[in-house]
Amino acid sequence: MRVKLRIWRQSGPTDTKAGLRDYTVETDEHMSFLETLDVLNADLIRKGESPVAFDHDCREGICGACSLVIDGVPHGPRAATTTCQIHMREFRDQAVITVEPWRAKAFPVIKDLTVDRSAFDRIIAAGGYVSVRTGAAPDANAIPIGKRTAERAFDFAACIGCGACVAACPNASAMLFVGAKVAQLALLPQGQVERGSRATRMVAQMDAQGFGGCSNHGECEAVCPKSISLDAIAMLNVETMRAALERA
Amino acid sequence: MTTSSAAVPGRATPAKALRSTIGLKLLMAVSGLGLVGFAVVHMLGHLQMFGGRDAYNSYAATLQGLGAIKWVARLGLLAAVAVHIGCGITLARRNRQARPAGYAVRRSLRATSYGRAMLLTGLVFLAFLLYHLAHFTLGWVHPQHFASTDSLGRPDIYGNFARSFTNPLITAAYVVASIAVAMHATHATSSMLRTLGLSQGRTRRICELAGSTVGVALLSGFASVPIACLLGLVTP
Repeated sequence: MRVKLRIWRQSGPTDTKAGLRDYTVETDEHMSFLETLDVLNADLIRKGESPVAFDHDCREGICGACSLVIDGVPHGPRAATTTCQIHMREFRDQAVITVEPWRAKAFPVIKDLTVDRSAFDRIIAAGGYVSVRTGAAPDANAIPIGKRTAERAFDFAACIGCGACVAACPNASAMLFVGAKVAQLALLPQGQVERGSRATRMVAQMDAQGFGGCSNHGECEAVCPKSISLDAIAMLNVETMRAALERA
Repeated sequence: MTTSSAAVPGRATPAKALRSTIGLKLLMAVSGLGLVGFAVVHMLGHLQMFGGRDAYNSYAATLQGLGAIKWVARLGLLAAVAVHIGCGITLARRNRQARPAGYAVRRSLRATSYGRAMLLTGLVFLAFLLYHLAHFTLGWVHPQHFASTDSLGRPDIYGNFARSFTNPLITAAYVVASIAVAMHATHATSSMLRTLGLSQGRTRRICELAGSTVGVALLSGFASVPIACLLGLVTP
């Protein structure tokens, strides 16, 4: 099959001539979307042109590196699926496919389709952890946790930090990401010690990075490759209120 | 890399929490809860137009006779409107700044038309609110309908309403405002319930249903009176 890719090309963070460029690629319906970009890049390198920069790592849907907005939807046309798991059979032959980077003030473009997502790292560093003395791994089930609680915490812990929630949100809000981490740790006994300050510190860092606020449209939940529920945002609000009341 | 290495926020205090995005959203939700609550009560009160002149005028006279309570309620509503607008503007500006460069192609999967139109419906409603107060509270516009009394000497609010809404333009303005309020309240109610943390897990569907229920109730309740007057079903 043959597709026309309209790809955002930007040579660096301050490139003023950045814009969409068209490329025609011979691909195969069994190829993944990223493999199609590999084919294009091999061709560009052969021609002596600069290959398209895009983030990718595990290519099995678990690392959170891949990050493309395909035809206006972060991670492309298939629900609960990362970009790397999208195959060309999702598209028609001769399709014109627009590929753009995540767009947010807090995620500046480094080159082409790669963006700097270290704002997420700074939010996690502000409170998205549990302080423990390191040592030997503790025994499994040393601290009993009910099945329902364990499963809810695990659903929030499934976040891979890809940033699709921010990319999809009309306000470029990071509240699904922040909420998932806050909710996961608030549900578990290990997270209780730092519970009082975690939400406030992470929210303050989230604001400092320049992310927007949640308007409850639900776009984040719809594109999340790990199907993180909007419940994370409800829990983030509750945890922030709780922390403020505790300190008051 | 090149990201603004934002300042470390420092010690978290309740005052700081209130100025955070989530604090502003909570203020938005609490003030909005008051406004939606008032809208529902206001709408139910207006339905007494269908009960005739005596029922409506005695209801209006009771409200006017509340004295201090009436002024506490008025000031409370004014404060809620001020907080709601102030937080709304601040959040809308932050949200706009959060995405300086947009997408060439963008497809919404979940956002609703009424959810996206919150700012617009809010502004339409604000303009209407000023007109509405000038119309029925202050008597500045259409004064010919104002300041008449019924046979018991009470202000004839019923007659004022019924006469006003025989004018199709006034009725149209009220119907448009009812649509704006209903759209705003539909997204607002479910959104507010999530911001307050009540919409989670099993309660989520109920909270979302509450949004559409409030919206439909407000639209039918508010729009029915002016339309009934225009059609001559309620006569002056």
